[in-house]
Amino acid sequence: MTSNPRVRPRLPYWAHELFLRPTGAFGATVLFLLLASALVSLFWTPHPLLQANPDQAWLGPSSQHWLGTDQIGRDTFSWLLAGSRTAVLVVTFSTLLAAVIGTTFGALSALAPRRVGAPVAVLVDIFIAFPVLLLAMLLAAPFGGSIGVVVIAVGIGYGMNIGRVTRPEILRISQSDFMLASRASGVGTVRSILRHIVPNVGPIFIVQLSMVAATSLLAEAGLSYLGYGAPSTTPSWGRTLATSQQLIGVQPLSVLWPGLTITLTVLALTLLGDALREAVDPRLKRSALRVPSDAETHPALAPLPDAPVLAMTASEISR
Amino acid sequence: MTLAITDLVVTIGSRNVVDGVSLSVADGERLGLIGESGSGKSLTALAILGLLPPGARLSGSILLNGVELVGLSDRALAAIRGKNIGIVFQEPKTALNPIRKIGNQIGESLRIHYGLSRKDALERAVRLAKRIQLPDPEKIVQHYPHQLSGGQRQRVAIAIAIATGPRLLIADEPTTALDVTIQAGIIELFNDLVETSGASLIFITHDVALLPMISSRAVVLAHGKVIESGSVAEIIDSPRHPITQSLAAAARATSWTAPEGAR
Repeated sequence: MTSNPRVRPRLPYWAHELFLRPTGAFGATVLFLLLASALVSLFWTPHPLLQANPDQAWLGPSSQHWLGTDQIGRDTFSWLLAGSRTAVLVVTFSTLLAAVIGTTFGALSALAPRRVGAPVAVLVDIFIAFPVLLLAMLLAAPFGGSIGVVVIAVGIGYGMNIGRVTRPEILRISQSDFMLASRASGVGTVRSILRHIVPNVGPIFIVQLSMVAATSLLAEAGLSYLGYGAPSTTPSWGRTLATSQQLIGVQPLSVLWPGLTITLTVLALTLLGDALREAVDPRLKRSALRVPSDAETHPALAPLPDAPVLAMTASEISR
Repeated sequence: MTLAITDLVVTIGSRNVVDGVSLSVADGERLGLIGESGSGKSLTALAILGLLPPGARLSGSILLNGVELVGLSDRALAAIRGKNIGIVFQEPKTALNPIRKIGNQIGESLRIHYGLSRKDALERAVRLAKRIQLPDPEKIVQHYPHQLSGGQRQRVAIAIAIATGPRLLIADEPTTALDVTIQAGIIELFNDLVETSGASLIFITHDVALLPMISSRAVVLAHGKVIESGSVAEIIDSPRHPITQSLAAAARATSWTAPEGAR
């Protein structure tokens, strides 16, 4: 693990800040490993994925099978490696869907005229009353269990959550003095949304998204565990955990590997989100600039003003 | 720039929060606008800018250099705001966007109204920072608001208001949230800015004690109506209306007060 990566000065400011934090470096590293293993598993696994060999069921770790084998003799390491594909798919698409739904409902309920915004806010409140797992089961009943069901359930469920969380924040910013001040200096609606609302709501949004990413993985595991998620031919950490824990007495270690993988990834996503939020917020900057004290700003000590700026004409300014 | 307000009425719900206010500011004049909280003085200021809260209705007439502002479209108002009118609000803590650099915030209106490039706007921001007597202007424009003190932030808010060289400056209780020692510096800055530029100033406050420092003429508001207007000396020494009397008495009583919570 690269806990102390070399940071080049050309790295953007937020990336620099991200790697200054141990949690950020850890999260980014695990996420990178996850993506790498998903990519590798597309081309190579130590053993063919679906090669069942009942004679070699429930083997312990060995040089042949690094993490042992499962109940039908498949190589656990290969299976977990391929499981990262499912994890990446679920995390990416649930987070994307949640981001789209969250932004839409958050912005609509906060910025639209009251007679539109208020009903939307109520709708969001009603929606978040439904547990995500229940939503997934409702979807799985007619459509059957699949990764798509997990993505849609998590995306809608937690997207509504994001909308709910961002709404008061958007409202707070849009009613703030600096928003009024910027409108007073002639800044248009679109520009003030981009300049003020987006950057100020961003950190909260990032944390929410990282929570969605982490939770989507848990939801996938949970739903697969219950049989609503991935079918048995799709490599999934949750399903592996489910089947091995039923026979925990036969091979206790077999529960450890998928459990550890899920825990590590969820932890990494959460920590990464937290570190990213801190990294994009200048108030939490690690390397603060020196600020002149009030004594230095006292008028008596201040240098005399030069040519009056206020007296400039429009043509001078636009020069 | 001359401003003439006649019979201004701002209605929120079924209440006339500003109820028939008429006042005028001559070119280069400094006018004090006094009143207790809720008297409608801030809403009058927002009405001039066309920034009333949603649901508020406006009637009457606001003439800015002969141009009628009431009934103008939002787009037309946006062009006038900032370019011709600058406003400074009460609370320096919230008047600045916490996550944008000061230089960018000062330069924003220059980029909008005069199409300056990022670099030119920043250069202009440095000059403005110097003008409002911030220490180390080249460096401070790279700072974020939380790295500045309250007085410095209020100076930045003033810099934003004067960036485009407006001919009318509205100061809505700009010193209320500041220590008394810092207050004097800010008022001095306002006086200096207005004197050197010849702009007009509307200084809104509930603190009658500040008035003699800034203006010679004042208008007193109560319950959305003008209850008294005239010279500052008159208002302080021989207030006619009971509300003015109590405001003036409060000013006399608190004029000895030491700075509270001096930092």
